[in-house]
Amino acid sequence: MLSRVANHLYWMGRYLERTDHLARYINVEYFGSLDSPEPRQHLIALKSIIDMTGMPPVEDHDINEEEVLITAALDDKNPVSIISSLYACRENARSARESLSKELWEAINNFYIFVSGYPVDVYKTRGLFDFTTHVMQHCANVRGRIMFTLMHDISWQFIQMGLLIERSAQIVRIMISKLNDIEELKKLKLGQYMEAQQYNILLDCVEAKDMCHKYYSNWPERHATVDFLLFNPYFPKSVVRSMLKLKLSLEKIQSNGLITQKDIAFQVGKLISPLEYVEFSDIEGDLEKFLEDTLSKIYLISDLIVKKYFT
Amino acid sequence: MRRRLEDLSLSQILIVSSMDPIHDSILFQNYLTRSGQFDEVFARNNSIKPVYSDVIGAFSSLSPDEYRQLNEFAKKSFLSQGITFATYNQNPRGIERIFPFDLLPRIIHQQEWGMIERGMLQRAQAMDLFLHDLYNGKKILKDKIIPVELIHSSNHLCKFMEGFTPPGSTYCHISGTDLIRHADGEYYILEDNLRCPSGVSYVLANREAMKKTFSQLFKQFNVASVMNYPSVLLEVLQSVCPAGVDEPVCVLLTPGVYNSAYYEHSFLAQSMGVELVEGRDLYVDHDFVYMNTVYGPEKVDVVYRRIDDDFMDPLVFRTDSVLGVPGIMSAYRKGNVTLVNAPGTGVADDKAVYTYVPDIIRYYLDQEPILQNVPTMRCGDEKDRQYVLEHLPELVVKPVDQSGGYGVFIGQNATREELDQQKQLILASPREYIAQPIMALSLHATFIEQKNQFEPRHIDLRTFTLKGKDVQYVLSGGLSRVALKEGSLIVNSSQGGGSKDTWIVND
Repeated sequence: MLSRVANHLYWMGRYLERTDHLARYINVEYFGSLDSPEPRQHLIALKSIIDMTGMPPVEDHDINEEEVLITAALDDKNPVSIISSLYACRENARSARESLSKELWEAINNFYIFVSGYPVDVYKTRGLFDFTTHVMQHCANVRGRIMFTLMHDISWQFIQMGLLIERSAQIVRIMISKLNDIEELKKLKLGQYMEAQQYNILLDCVEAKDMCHKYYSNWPERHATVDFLLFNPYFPKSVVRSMLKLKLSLEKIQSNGLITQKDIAFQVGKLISPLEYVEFSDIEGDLEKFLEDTLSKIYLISDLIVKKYFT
Repeated sequence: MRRRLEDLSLSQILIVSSMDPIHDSILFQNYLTRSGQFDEVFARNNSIKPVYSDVIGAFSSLSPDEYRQLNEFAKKSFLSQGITFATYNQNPRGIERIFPFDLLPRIIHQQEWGMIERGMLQRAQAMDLFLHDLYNGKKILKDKIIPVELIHSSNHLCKFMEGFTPPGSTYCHISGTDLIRHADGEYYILEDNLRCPSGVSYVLANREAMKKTFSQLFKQFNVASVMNYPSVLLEVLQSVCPAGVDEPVCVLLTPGVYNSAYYEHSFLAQSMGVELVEGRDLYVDHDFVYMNTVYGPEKVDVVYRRIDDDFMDPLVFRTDSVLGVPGIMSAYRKGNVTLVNAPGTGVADDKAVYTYVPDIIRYYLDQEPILQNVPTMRCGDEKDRQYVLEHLPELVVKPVDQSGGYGVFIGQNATREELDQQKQLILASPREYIAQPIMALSLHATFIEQKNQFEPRHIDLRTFTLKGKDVQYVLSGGLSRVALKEGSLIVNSSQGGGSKDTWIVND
C-alpha cells in the first residue's frame, strides 16, 4: 500500500473522530448547562467549548453565544470547526478513494453534503440539537461502514490507528478541560450535587455515563470518572483500551509479525505500559500532570507512526 | 401551451398529433423538429422512430411532477457518489456541481453500431501503424502522403520517441473519438483524442443512474453492457507490460485530487484494483520505476498515465513539472516500464493531421475508411486558407492542438469585428488552424428543467476504443454529450454541456 494513501487513511480516521467529539462536546456542554441554577455555569460551558475546539481564548465579557456556536460548528474559515474537520476527513477520503468501499465513501460524502448544506439560520435559532445529533449519527454510520464494508487489512489498520489516536487524545483533552471547569465551579460553592452533575456531563461527552453508572453502581465522582475513562479494561473508549488496540494494529502491520526492540510497536508498548499498571491513587496527587503527560505521549506515538510509515 | 398547426411555419412540424397517446403528454406537447436537421428520436412524418417508440411511450406516461421526481433522484445519486466537479470562484473549498445528466437515453440499433465499431477499430489500427512509421522510418512522409512540414511543425511530435517501438507496437491504447450525425443522417468523425481521453466513467455512472431510475423500463430492452470496460482496460495494460514480467504491477498516475477528472481516475483505479498514484509516489532508480509503499519500494511495470506528455518527466519535458516522475522516460526507453498511452501520440490527433486520416487508412491498410471525416480545410495550405478567409461566416474554425471546445470560432454567430479578429489570427499562424463547414449536429429530445418539458438539443458521441497486444475493444455506446443551450453546438462539459446514457440495442 502506498505511503501517501496510508497517510490519507490515517488522517481520514483522525478527522472523523475529531468531528464526532466536537459535535458531542458542543451538544452535551450546551444543553447540560441550560438548566443550571447558576448562570455563570452557562458561561463556563461556552468557554469550555472555545477551549475544546481550540479557538483563540476570549474574555468573559466578549463571549457571544451565537458567535461561539457558529464558529465551532459551521464556520469554514475556522480550521477547527466541525465543518472544517469534516472537510479534511472527506478530502483525505477522496485522496484515498480507490482504497475505500463505495458504501464508505458515499457515507462520508453524504455526511459532508448534510453538514455543508445545513442552513445557518436554522442552526442558530432551533437547530443546534438537531444538527449535532445528526452529526453524531452520521459519524456512527461512517464508523459502521469502516467496520463492516472494508477488509480488515493493512488499509483498515491505518484508519483504525487514526481513530484510536484521535479518540484517546480527545478524551484526555476533554478530561483536562472538564476537570478544569469543575475546579472553576467549585469556587462558586454550588454543592456536591453540582459537582456530580459535572462528572455526568464529562462522561456524557464520551458516551460513557450509563456504563460508568453500571460499573460502579453509583453516581460518579472524581475517582470513578477518571478511573473509568483512563483505565477501564472493558470500556471500548477508555484510553488504555484504545492504546492497546493501537499497539495491536501496529503489530499486524509489521510484515513478519515478529516484534523487536527496534520496531515501532515495541516503542509504543513502552510508552503506554504505565497506563496498564497505574491506579487512580498513584496519580491522584498530580492528575493534571499525568493527563498532560499522557496527551504528550499520544502525540509522540502519532509522530512515530507518521515518521515510520508516511515519510 | 400547445401550439396550433397553423401557427407553425411549413418547416416546423408538430411531432405529436391528437391521435397519438404522446399528444397528451405535457412533457412532449411542444416538441418541434427543425427543418434541415436530423432528429434522432422523431422522423419527419411526425412519427417516433421505431427504436425509440417504447422508451418515448414510457416517458410520455409520466406527469411533469413524476418526471421531476425521477430527475431529482438521479441527480442525488450523482451527488452522493461524489460525481461532481468543483468551481472555486466563490468558495476556496469549491462549490460542487454535478454534470447535467438527461434521463432520456440516446438509442442506437446494433446494426448501425456494428458499422461504427468496425470504423473505430480500423482507425485505431491505422493510427498505431502511422505513429510507428512516424517514429521509425517515416515512410509515409517519404512517399509524400503527408507533408513533412505538417509533422515537423506539430507541437506534439516527441523526439524522444524516435527509433523506439513500445511493447506490442501499441501507441494508442485508449482512444476517444468524437462522432456526430449530420443533417444527411450520416455519421462523421469530428476529432480524435489520442492523448488522455476522458469521460468513460460518466458512461458507466450514467448507466448506473438509468438502471436505478428506470429499472422496469431498462429490463425490457436488450441493452449492450458497458460494465466490462475496466476489466478490458486492465487486460490491455497487462498485455503491454515489459518483456519478462509475469505478473505486472499496473498503476494509474493522476495529477491529483484537484484535477477535474479525478473522479474518473479513482473510479478506474478502483474498478481495476490497481493503485492510484501521484507523481510524488513514484521514483526511478537505475532505470526502474518504484512506488513508495508502507513496506518500502515496489517495482511498477505499467503506468496508465492521465498526465500530458509535457508533465511526465521534468528531466526530458517541462522542467517545472511537479506532477511527473524524474527519469521515467529513460526507464521507458530502456523497456523497463510501459507508458499508456505512449508519449508522442498527440502528433496524430492534431486537427491538421486529422484531415489526412482517410489517406493514412488507405496507405497502411489498403482499405477505404469505414467512417468519414468532416470535410476539413487546412489553413496552412494556401488554397484552403484563401477559401477559409473568403467564407469565414459559413465555417467553424478550430485551433489544431486544443481540446475541450476551447478556441473554437463559429462564423455564423460572429460580428464583423470578431470575423476580422479571427482572420488576423489565421494569417498570423495559419498552421495553427483548420476550418470545417458548420455541421448540423443531430438533435435529440432533452428535458429542459426551466421549461419542464422536452426540447430538441444538439448531441455528439464520444466513443472509447481500447487496443493492446492481441486485445481490441470498442465500448458499446460511449458518451452522448448534449449542448443544453438552445441552438448551441458546443457539447463540452466545460462549456455547459450535459450527457445522456447511450443504449446499443438489439432486437
